[in-house]
Amino acid sequence: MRHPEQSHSFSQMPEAGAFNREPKPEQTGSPEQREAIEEAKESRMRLLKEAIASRLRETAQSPLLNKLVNILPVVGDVAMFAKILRGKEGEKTLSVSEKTIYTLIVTSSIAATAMLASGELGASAGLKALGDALLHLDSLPTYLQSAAERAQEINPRLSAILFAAANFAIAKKTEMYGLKYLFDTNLTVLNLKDEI
Amino acid sequence: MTDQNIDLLNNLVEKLKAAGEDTAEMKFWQEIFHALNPQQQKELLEILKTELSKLETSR
Repeated sequence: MRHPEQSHSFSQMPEAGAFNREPKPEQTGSPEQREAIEEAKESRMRLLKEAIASRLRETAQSPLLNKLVNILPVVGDVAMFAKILRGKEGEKTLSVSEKTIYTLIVTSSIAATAMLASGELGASAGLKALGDALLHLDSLPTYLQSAAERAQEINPRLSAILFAAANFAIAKKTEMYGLKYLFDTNLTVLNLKDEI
Repeated sequence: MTDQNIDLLNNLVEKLKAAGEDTAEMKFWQEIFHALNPQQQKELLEILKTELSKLETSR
């Protein structure tokens, strides 16, 4: 299951914050429409986290896998990151589209790390691998795709999620680079979690 | 997963895209639908139906 666009490179990425922000769906409608879209996106991200957690639990257990499953709701909790950002960057808050992109990419990357590193790395090294993957957005689609390929035989349903996440990362590459500061913040949080 | 559910999903996705929902996110859910368990599929369809209903009501 390969997708031609998955060979695209991020080498022509704009610098963080330099991309042209197009109007987001939640910014263009009435207040009621914006609320409906926001509620739906948040519900879908909760569903995605549950789906990934249930798929991960189907695989063989390991200390790293257990740790990754345990941090899924934490790392994907964009409210926590918004607080971190507010502390770091004044009144900066995330739009619901930004939260969705961030949550989808981070939760999928956690699952990808579980597939690529579980059984081979300890918990600390695995979390470092996850942090490195999130810091290198240009190669993140390839990371997700590699994990999807590895999962194809042992966990086909998780593999499907990872292939779809790779496609999403490619489609959202410009927006992801606009959120690069968020992924940098994420690494700090992962280091904190590593101490647990 | 039934053909009826897939038809419903595709129908909802097309209507939501027309209403302004994000194309890439909608494509993601179409691609992973078969990877969800039946309860999760049902939940996703309910979320999409509720969103579409609210968007149409507030139009």
